[in-house]
Formats: sequence, C-alpha cells, structure tokens
Amino acid sequence: MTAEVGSDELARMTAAPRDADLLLQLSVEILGLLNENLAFPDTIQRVVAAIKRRTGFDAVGIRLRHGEDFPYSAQDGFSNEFLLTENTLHGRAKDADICRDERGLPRLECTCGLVLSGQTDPTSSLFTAGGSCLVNRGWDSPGFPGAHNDPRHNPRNRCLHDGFNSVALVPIRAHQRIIGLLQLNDHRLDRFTLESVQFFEGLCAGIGLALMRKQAEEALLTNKAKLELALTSSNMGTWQWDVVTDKRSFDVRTCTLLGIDPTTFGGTAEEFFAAVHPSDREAVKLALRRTLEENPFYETEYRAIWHDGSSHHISARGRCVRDDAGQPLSVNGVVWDTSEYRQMQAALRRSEAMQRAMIANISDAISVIDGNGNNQFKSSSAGKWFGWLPEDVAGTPLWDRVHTEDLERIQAAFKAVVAENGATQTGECRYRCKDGSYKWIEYTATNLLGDPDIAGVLLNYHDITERKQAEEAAREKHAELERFTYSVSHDLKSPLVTIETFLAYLEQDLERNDAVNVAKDFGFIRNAASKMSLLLDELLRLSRVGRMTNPSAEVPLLAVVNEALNLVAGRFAARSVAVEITDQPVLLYGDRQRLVELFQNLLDNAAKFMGEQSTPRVEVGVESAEDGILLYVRDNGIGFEQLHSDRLFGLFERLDPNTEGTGLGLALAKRIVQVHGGKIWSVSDGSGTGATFKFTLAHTRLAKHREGT
Amino acid sequence: MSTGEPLVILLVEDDPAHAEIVRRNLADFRVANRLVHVEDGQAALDYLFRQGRYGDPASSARPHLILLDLRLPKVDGLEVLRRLKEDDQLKSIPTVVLTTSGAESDMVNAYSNGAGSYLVKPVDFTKFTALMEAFGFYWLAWNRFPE
Repeated sequence: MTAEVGSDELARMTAAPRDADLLLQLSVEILGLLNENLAFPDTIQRVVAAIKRRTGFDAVGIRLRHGEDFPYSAQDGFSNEFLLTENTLHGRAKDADICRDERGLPRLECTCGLVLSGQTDPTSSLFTAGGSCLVNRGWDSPGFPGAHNDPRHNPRNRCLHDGFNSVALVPIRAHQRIIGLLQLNDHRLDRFTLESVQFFEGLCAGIGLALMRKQAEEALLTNKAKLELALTSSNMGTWQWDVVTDKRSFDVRTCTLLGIDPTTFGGTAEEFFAAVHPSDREAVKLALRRTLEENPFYETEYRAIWHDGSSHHISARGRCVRDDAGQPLSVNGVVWDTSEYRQMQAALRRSEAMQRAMIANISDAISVIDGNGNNQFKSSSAGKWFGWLPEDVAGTPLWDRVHTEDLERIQAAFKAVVAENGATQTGECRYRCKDGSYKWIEYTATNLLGDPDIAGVLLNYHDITERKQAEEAAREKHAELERFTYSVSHDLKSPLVTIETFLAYLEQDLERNDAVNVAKDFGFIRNAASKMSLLLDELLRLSRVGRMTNPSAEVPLLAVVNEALNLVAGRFAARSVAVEITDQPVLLYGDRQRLVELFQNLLDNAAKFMGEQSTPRVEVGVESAEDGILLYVRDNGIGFEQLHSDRLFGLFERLDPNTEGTGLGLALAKRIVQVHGGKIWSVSDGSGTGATFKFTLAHTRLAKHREGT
Repeated sequence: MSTGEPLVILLVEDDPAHAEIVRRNLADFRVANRLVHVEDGQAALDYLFRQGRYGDPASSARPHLILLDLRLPKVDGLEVLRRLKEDDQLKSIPTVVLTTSGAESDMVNAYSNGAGSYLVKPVDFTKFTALMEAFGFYWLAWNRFPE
C-alpha cells in the first residue's frame, strides 16, 4: 500500500525524528515493563498506561483472547458506554446465540474482528501488510467505504461513530497466532503514519512474545507450587544431574534425605557418592550408566550413610532428558526415604513368618470352613498329623472326611454352631486321614462367620487316638480286674465252704465213730485247704508277671526248656512222658525267669492231661509263619473239644474238674506270652487226640550258628 | 406225696466236696430220692437230652428237680439253664440254682433264663445244713410233682 503523501504527511515527516526518539523511549519502557516480575494483568495495565502517556493518544486498549472472545484486558480512555457494547466482539443472533461461521468459529465483528481474524485485505489502503488497520481521517479515510454502504460495519465502528478520527488496530501475535490487538484511538486527524504503525507492529510482536512467556511463567509457577506441595507432603526430594557438566543440583529435601549439608553442597559426584553406602555405589553407577545408554527411566535403591553413621534406605527414580540428537543432557528425578517402609515390611514379614511357623507346628490342626461346610483354609500342621495338604481339601466339604457312623452327629453339631454367632461346640469323632485310616479326634468349632477377618467356622482339632486307646485299654483292664475279682472270690469261697462243712461233719462222724466217713472228711478238708494254698500261690505269681523285674535278654530256647523240664521232672517221670525238643537254634528274647515259667506251665499242663495215653509224648517245636517264628508245645493226651478252646485260658477254668490244678496255669502262660508281645492259642482235634498250644514271642529269631546251652 | 418211685434229683455240681454235702443231707431225708450227680455242664446236657454216654434212656431217668451250680466246666451253668428251658419237654422241670456266687448279675441272669429259685451256699455249716433241710422239706415233702 502506498500512503498518500499530502501536506499533512509532510508535517508528519518533519516531525519524524521527534517521533522516532519518542518511539524508542516507549519501546525501552515497555520492554522493561514486560521483563519485570509482575503479575500478568498488572503488566498489561502498565503497558497501556505507558503507551498512552508517551504517545498522548486519547484512548489506548489491548484486547486479548479470553475464551472465544477478545475483550479489553486493559484500556485507558474509552468511555463506559463504549466499553459496554464494544467489549465483546461476538455477534448475537435474534435468539442471543453467538453467530458462527461455517467452521463453527464465532464471527468477530467490527474491524477489530477483521484484524483479529487475520482477514484483512492487504491491497486496501486501510490495512497494512502486517495485518494492521490504519485510519487517519475518520469516515473520509481513503479506502473506507461509506458507513451506510457496508452492512458489516453498521452499527459497529463505534470508534468512528464516537468521533475518533485516527484509529490504529495492530494485531498482537505469538508464534504466528494472533492473540489480541493493540488499539490506539485519537480524535485528531492524521495521527498515524505507516512507519509508526509498523513500529507498533514490531512492538506488538514483542508484547505478544512477552505475554506468552508471562503466561507460561505463571502457569509454571502455579505448577511449581503444586509440585512443591506434593513433594513436601510426601517428603520427596528432587534432583538433577547435568550430564554435560557432571554437576548435580539437589533441593533441600534431597540433601536432607542423603545426609548432605545443603549449604555446603557443591554438586560434585564425589560428594554424592560419599553419601552412598560403599557397597551400593557400583549399583548406582551402573543404573545411571544404563539410563544414559539404553533405558530412559532410572530406578535404583541404595543406602545413604549420614554423618552420624546411621543408614537410610533410599529409593531413586528419574528420567533422562536428551537433545535433538539423542545425546543425554541431564537426568532429572526424585528420591525418597524407604527406611521406615522397609522396617515395617521386615517386621510384618517376621510376624507373618512367626505365625506361619506357629500354625505349622502346633499340635492342633486348624481349619476354617464356610457356612456350607466347605473347607476354606487348612493349616499345614494338619499334614503332619493327618496327611492332608491344604490343596487336597480346599473347597471340599468337611463331611467327606468324617466317619459315616459319626456323620449325623457331626452335621447336627455343625448346624447348632452355625445357628448362633460366636457359638462353640466341642466333641469327638472319627476322621479319615489321607492314607484312608481313621483317627479319633477331639474338635472345637467356633462360629466366626460374623468376624470379617475369618468369615467362617474355625475348627481346631487334635488326634486323641492314643488317648482313646488308653481309655479302651483301661476299660479292658478294669473289666479284667472285675472278672478276676469275681473268679477269685468264688474260687476261694468254694474250698472255704468245703472246709467249714466237713469240719462240722467231722465232728459228727467222730462222735458216731464213723471211721470211714471221718477219713473221707479229712480228705475233703485237706484237699480244699491245699487247693486254697495253691490258688493263692498262683495268684501271687500272676500278679508278678505284670511287672517285668528282670531286664530282657536273648536266651536260647533249649536252655529255657531244659530248665522248665527240671521243674516238672517229678510229674514227667511219674507219667513216663517222653520229650522231644527241636534242634533249631532258636533264640528267645525276654525275662528268662518268666520264659521258664511259661514253658513250665505248658509242659505241666501237657503232662497233666495225658489221660490214658500209654505212650505219652510231649513235643516242643518251631514253625515259620508269615510274620515270624511260631513256637508250640504238643501233647498226645486227652485233648479237648475245639469249641471249648477259648475258655482254656480263662482264670480258674478247668475243663475237667477231676484233674488237679487250679486252672491258673494256662492263664499264667497267657499273661507271660502277652507281656512278651505275643499271642497264644490252642488247637485240638477233640477228645483223645492230644492238644497243641501255639504261641509267638516278640523278637524270637534263629541264631546263625547252633548255640550251646 | 408219692410213695412209689423215688424222686430223681439231678445235681449239677463240679466241686466233689459240695456234691458230697448235698448228698449227705438229702440221703438222710425221709422222702426217698435218688441223686444223680454230674460234674460239668456238658454232662448235664448229655443227661437231659439223652445223648452221648447217656444215650440209653434207662440210664437217664427224667429228673423231677434240678439243682444247678452256675460255675461249671465245659458248659456254663447259665447255658445249661437256657438250653433246658428252651426245650418243650424239659422246660417244665423246676430248676433251683445252688451256687457260691451272691452276685446280683448272676441272680438276674438266672431268673431271666428261667430259674425257679436261687440259693447261695452258706459258708457256715449250720446254715448250710439248715438250708438243705429247708430245701428238702419244701421241695421233697411239700412240693407236688406230676407223675
């Protein structure tokens, strides 16, 4: 555009040096203002004031983008009425909605709108190449269409309507975007030249940049404030390692965390690594190196050693910042103290480990089952006692492992427990182990369904099989004692009755001089008395068998049998009983005295029951059985009906009352066998075919070589 | 009181001395009686059921009365009692238990298995004699038996 040169133009040109000076001072002042550390709104206000003051224009204003509009951020000289309508550049339709163009952007009205939207016509004399609007003669300015012609300017262009004859609108740009404009109005004519407008264009470019920078600074400050708050709250420190200069910048918190004095910290690598525990230095260096070379994210843990010698666990994180060529410029990051966290973790781990160890090793097994009886948790101690691993039973119902006979009772108990929060039930039942065997357990069930930490029924139970067995054994012993007492009282009473009665008979018979009966009476009395004596003797022996007074030792079978034979020699000789003993080198193990008694009783018994046998023979032998060595004493005497066999070993049992003996001999033999961990039983084919008494004794074995006696 | 056949009493007693006592007492009795003595439960059953060595009915006259000791060899007294009370032919024979045991359980068992009476052998001789006399009077003098 070429400015028309007129006389006024000439007047302006001659005033140029003065103008230039003025403009220079103005630019200095404004730049100074822009660089001051003022809040943004204040800066704009001051800039406007400075321009107005120095130029003497009637009204100066700066519009800046605010949302979709460009209101005045600052102005000086415009009237309130003017501002009322001119502040907003949006056109509103009849229904008050903002008019928008085909792109959806709001139409900006007035020439300001043109300037702001960058849609100025550079060929028109109204506009400059830089996009500014320049009016010097009001309505009569060259290039200006008549007010009544252009509907776009009607009813706008308040400036001209208000009598401002000189108006300059200069766009303010930042990064090629128009962010606002500078408005200079004056009532006088010819205030502007192309050069002065171009000066203002330059000024506005500077203003634009400065404004952008200011806004960015303010945003940055706000963000910085937020960051500070976050870091302070979390006690994190920030740091930067300038890779190029190898200088470190630590904020106060970082220094504190690392035990470095912030006032004397010089930022050297030596100072930093001096704070790091010697064993951790290599790891830190390696991590830093890796960040620089491959992985942009820096992560490491190390110990910081303070001057007082205390050790603090530090976690560090950071990022590598690179230049356009990818070369590392710096690593920026944060650090924080994890000591407390680690301590808590360690304490927690220890506590957990202790609890786990406790649960794994207690003698009880612990399970938690849900309201339906399904297993939710089982302690590992259960594995020790019952073979079940937690994974074997997880989710399976408890009933699966309860003995069928106890099932109903257990289910009823479970129902009772579940019915009431906190209820407890105790009881016993049989429980199937993993290997299929059953064990008696005593359990306690506690309803903790309402406790959020457990939310189930807590079961603790332990094996009472041994106790039950002991109870059973005690019961049996008691029963045996009862039987024993019963037997004894009867068998002692009987001969007593005899003695008493026959003493009386004796008296009578002596009076009557009935010699035959007297003799008979004496016989009965004597018999009864000796029977009682024998009985008492054997009772004593029986009681002694229970107490193994002698230490167990190995003793050859032959030696034992020979000793026993010595004790029964009389009866054997009287009956001419032949004896046969096995030549197998059998070694017995136990109380020698008792073993001799055992064989003595069996041999005695054999000889006693020879009956009419003309060639009485007793055989002592061994047989091998599947679970060990079987010993036997066989006779060819009267034998017995097999169906009576189990009564043989009973106390005081005698199958034939005519034979002598108290009936204790076999009971004694049985007791001795039992005490030596064995079993005894009798076999006979019936009367007249002899009898065999078979028995086992624990630890009986065959010697490698034949032992002597 | 029958004047014909003597009353047969089966005495099941394993202790020979006690059997002797009973024999001596009843032998003196004015009511004629024949005491058959067996020494164990099996023999008692053999006699009653006429088996074994008592197969010949001539040697095993049906007893009018049974005196039964409880503790017997081979077959227990209670078992004998049970068996004979189960038999239609034998169950009507009155059975008196004569034993040394005064145990409550023995008494209960005896009665529930059909014993008619339960006597405990007194240790005292006078008492035993008195008992036997009373026994004799009651059962042999007063009690009636069918033919």
